[in-house]
Amino acid sequence: MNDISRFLDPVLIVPYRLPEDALSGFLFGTLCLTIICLAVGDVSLRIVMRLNRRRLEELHTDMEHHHKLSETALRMGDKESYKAVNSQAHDAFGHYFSFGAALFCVSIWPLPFAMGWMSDRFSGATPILPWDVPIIGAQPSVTFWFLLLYIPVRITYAKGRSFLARRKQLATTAAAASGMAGDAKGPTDQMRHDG
Amino acid sequence: MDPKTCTITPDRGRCAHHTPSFPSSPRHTRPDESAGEGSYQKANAAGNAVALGARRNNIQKESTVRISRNLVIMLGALAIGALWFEPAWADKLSDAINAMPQGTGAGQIDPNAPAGFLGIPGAPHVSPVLSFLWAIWVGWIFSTVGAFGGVMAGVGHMTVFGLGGYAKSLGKNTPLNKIVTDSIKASNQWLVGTSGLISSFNYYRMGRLVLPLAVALGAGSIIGAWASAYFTAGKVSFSSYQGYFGLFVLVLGLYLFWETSPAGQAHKKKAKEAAKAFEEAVKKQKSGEKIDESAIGVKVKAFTMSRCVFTFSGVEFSFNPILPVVGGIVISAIAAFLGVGGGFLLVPFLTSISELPMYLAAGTSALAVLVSMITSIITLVSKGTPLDWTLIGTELVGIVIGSIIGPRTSKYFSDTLLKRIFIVLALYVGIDYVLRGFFNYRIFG
Repeated sequence: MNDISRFLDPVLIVPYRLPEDALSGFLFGTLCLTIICLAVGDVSLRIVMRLNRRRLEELHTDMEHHHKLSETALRMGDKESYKAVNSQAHDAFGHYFSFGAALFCVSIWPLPFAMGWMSDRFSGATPILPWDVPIIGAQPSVTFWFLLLYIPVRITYAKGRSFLARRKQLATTAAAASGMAGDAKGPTDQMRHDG
Repeated sequence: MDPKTCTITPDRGRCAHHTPSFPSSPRHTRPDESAGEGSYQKANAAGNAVALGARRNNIQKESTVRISRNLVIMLGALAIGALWFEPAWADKLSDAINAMPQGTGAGQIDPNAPAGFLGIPGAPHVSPVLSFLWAIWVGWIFSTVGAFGGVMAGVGHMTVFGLGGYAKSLGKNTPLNKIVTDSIKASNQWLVGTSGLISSFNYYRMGRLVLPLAVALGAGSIIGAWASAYFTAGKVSFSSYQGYFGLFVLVLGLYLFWETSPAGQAHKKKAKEAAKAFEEAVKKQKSGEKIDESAIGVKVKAFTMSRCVFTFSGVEFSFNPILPVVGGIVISAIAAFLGVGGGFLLVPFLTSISELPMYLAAGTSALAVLVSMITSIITLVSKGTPLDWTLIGTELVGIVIGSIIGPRTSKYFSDTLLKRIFIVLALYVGIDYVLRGFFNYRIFG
């Protein structure tokens, strides 16, 4: 076991030992590990995005601006201007995409350490399937088990966040609308007031 | 409804005045905000009309997003299914180690030596400090130059960390040489391929995929990446890999050299001036131009084996579906073989065959890069290629730091200066790798 795995081992092994059953323990522990990786990665991403907020906005604005301009050129049927503006948009996209690559690395930096620890801990001792699947055999590796749980956890988290954000936006707008409806005097309200 | 606030469509929770083109950053246009009931009612009616139009547009976009989402789910299922095909890799590595002659001489494995890279006895132990510092450089490249981060990652693995020299010392045709080579390639791809993942999810959410083009390119990319990994994994010695990688870097360096030359600059300058002139003309134009909301968005008009026709913003585009399949095969095969991203090859290819608007080319190529990466990494792993997770993890942390530092230093470096730095590196690395890889000749040392 390398130094990093040895350092992380006392903490990361705890959830694996909670359930009585070995298989449940492995799955529960791996699930907790994926949640830890997701949380640490997400916090790191938010910090880095906050630190680079201005640069991200500049790149995004540049890209959007040129793209919208190219749409305008298309609508006006000006092919030469469209090509010129579109090439600027592609240049801007190149920078944005590349920066996005770096940001995604930020969100997944804990993964290799987690998989390295799992390899050191469970290599050769992963759950054995009840059937022997051709090519893969009966004992998939730690990478398989980790990614099998990490991907759905990440997707669920992303969906949950956007759901909560939409609900918050709806609630804020509904509150603002009802507050202003109370102030506004439509025709019926005005007649009732005069009567 | 108060004209000062935006109406919310109940199904999407989104402002009815949302400009459909940029769902990630909606630009709100508000009805007339002047006081008084007359303008209130006019604004109300106008707002309802716009809301209906926007709702129609949203429904159309939702079906595009649903189709794109299904495509990504299918590809994800394929990736997970392929991941299922992953035997324990330790056996292949230990077999390769056992097959090596034992001893302390060159090309021999000393079983008593301390374990290094991949746990191979006597292999170099990659310094975490060195890998961390180099990864900061890679992250800086990602966030400033805008491309070629993968190439720099490859140079790090091969030369800076000494893994290339070690692989060569194992002997040209030994299984261990080939396993170490494949591990280096897969490590490069881990760092670079992740970029395709996040972009693809963003673009499928935005509905910015031309589905037939994405499918054609994706199919070509899967075939190319699978074929490259299947036919070369475990078969290419490090020297050959280094030579081809060097050739690729040399071509890149020469292309960048042309870009910064007066001829290349003139071409870019002309495009920039034309774009600026158009922008000024649009600003001067009176506002109030009627925009047909229904024309915005991708609409596939016709699809045959020889021609696909679609419209975007009311303008017709077409392409031959065979071209993206063939292009996808060639580009992803090269990218998978060398362990680089391929994204920067795909976008110019897409724009040259169909003159696609940036958002469409970007989304479509991001998906193809993602597919190519998943396929080649899965194929490499399923064939038993080991990865040094600690090395990859340390490099990711370095990339994080580099991506924070990069934007803060970009104001001190012009685009041209950055490219010239890269040109010098690319020419040195390219020439050196080609000579070492193909001719076993070292410029220095």
